[in-house]
Amino acid sequence: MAGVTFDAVTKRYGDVTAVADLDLDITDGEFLVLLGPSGCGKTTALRMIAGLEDISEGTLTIGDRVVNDIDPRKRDVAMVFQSYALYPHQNVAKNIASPLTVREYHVDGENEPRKLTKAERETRIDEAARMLGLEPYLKRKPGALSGGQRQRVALARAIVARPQVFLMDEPLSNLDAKLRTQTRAELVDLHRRVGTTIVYVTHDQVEAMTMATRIAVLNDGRLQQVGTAEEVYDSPANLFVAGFIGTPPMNTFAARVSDDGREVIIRRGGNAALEAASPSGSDPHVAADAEEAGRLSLDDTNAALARSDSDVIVGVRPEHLHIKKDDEPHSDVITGVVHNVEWLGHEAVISVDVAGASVAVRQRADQDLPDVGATVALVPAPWGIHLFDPETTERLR
Amino acid sequence: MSEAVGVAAADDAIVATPKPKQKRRRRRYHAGEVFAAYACLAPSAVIFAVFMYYPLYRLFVEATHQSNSFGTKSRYVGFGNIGDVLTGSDFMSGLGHTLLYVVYTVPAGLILGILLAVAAHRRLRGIKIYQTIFSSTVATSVAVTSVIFLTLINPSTGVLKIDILNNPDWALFGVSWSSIWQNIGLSFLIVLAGLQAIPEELLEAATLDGYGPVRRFFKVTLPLLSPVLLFLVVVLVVFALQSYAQVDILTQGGPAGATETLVYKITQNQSPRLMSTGAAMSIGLFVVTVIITAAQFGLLSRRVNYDK
Repeated sequence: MAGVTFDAVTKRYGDVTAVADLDLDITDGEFLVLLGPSGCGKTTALRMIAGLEDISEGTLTIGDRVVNDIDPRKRDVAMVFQSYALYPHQNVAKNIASPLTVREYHVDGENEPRKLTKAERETRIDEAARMLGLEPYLKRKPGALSGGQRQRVALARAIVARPQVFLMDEPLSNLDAKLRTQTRAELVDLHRRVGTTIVYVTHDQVEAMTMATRIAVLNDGRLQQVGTAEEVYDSPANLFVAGFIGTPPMNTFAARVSDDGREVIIRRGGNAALEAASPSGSDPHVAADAEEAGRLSLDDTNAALARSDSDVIVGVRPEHLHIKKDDEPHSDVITGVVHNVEWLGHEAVISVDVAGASVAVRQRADQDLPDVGATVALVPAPWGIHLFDPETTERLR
Repeated sequence: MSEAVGVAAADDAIVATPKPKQKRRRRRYHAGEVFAAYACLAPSAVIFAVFMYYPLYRLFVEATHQSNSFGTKSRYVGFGNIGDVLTGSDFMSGLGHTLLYVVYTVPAGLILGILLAVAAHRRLRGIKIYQTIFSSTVATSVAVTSVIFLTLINPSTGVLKIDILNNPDWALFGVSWSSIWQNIGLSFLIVLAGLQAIPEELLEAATLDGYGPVRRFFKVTLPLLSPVLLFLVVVLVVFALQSYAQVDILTQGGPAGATETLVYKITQNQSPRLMSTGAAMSIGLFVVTVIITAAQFGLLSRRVNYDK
């Protein structure tokens, strides 16, 4: 087992930079998820670990070995492909055995790697088949298996090699929703048992949040943030992460810090983070004559970060906003008009028009829901206010 | 992961449950439906009748009737004539040349097609130019390639100056070169299409499994190409069995009948007096073609993988 280190790794295809200057230290035994929208470079990064893509610049290390020029066959990694890439002409047992037939392996108690004996191969195949519940299907060809079974064969083929690193490229994307949820739990369980480093690529934030020990968020080939699910959710490093993680995403408001630095004046509603996250990246700047939609006072932590009399982007997660009740004394409110209410059983998502843009509010479903068209006052939780620099889109820190 | 087993079993149930066999029930058709069905079938039935069944019938008529030199009189000589012709030395030598021609052209055409397709199946600047060149003979007629070939190897004025077509021992082999060349375009195109249908991820998975390029080719690429290759073999064999034009243009069957293939012999037996011999040989060629094609499917299709 080993960790993987990207040191200033860049990948270019002609004029296009797929991965730019990536620094990422994946520790041994970690379940690291590379998360980002399509085209963000996450799969390219994964394929560079596998050796299926050359590295244009920088160094890539697996364990203590620089692998830039090492043949993919010699990198000791196993990959689960999105399409599973099973050999259609071979039965399940042969598919699983495939990495064992050619490569040489270190056997406990021996110094030199060697080819496995037939008995050793069969032990490993049986073990993997048992672990993944594939024993009844060993003689079948992949064409006779369901999607979930094929996916498990692909996993078994990766497991038998006992590689230093597992690489997984959206392995759940071809499964239906129910099977996906279940396989997620199985993968976490598998990781717990084998303890091998897993690098997992997905565009699905739920997969990332539920499985990863750490998440690396990428966009436009650049690393945005690395951290636990909690870190990227609770303290997004920039507007992109704020907008990408969370459903609905974080609400953001263009605002100005008051003269005394204790308040922010909301100028305009709307999801600046969403705009920043979109490929076109429209300008989150505030129109000078925008109307005032509300005033929020800052807690001590945020007040220390905010520069008085400057533009700022205020972010609030939907669950950190609530609709002010009549008997509440709050004066810190953002006013708007309800234009949609989605009732989801356990919660409700209320969309509120604030000065022309939509703001999401999440509340428990058993509480009173406002009528569509009603004017409401939104109260943010003081600890739920995030401040971002409108110039750099970075979180103020 | 005890759940996995449970789910696996559940999945299994879905896959393995045999579909209840539906009894075919004969439906009664209305007269109108019957009429419409035959009306729809009629055009193809007419085409088949005119171009397939009637000629086939005529073939048997010709093969069992002996005509005089002018074709004005003919008498029934029976099916024994077919037997006589097909066991005769003329047919046998033609069959021998034809089978030898299959041996010369099919493996070479197949292997060259695979080699060129593998060479051209990559993303390189200008690869389309090579793909066009390699497939060019598809759009060239046998007559044209034969004439070009003849000019190329002409012993006195050609570029290559190879005197092979005048040597009775080597002439058939020489003629086969032009066929191999002629067939390369088709082999190349078909194999290239087959290669392009193989998912890239499968080859990448093989690489990560430790397969080198050679092993990857034989263990992954070739099995996945097998349906395409079976098709190609069948087509190339039929082409070889029917070879005529190249023989007619390059050697006219010579020297000393060394390149007389079956179809060439059949065309030499077209005068009214010899028509019955030609017709009998045609029947022989038809039977040989059916046997060989059936044998190919029987022997090879078990080794062909149709799973995707």
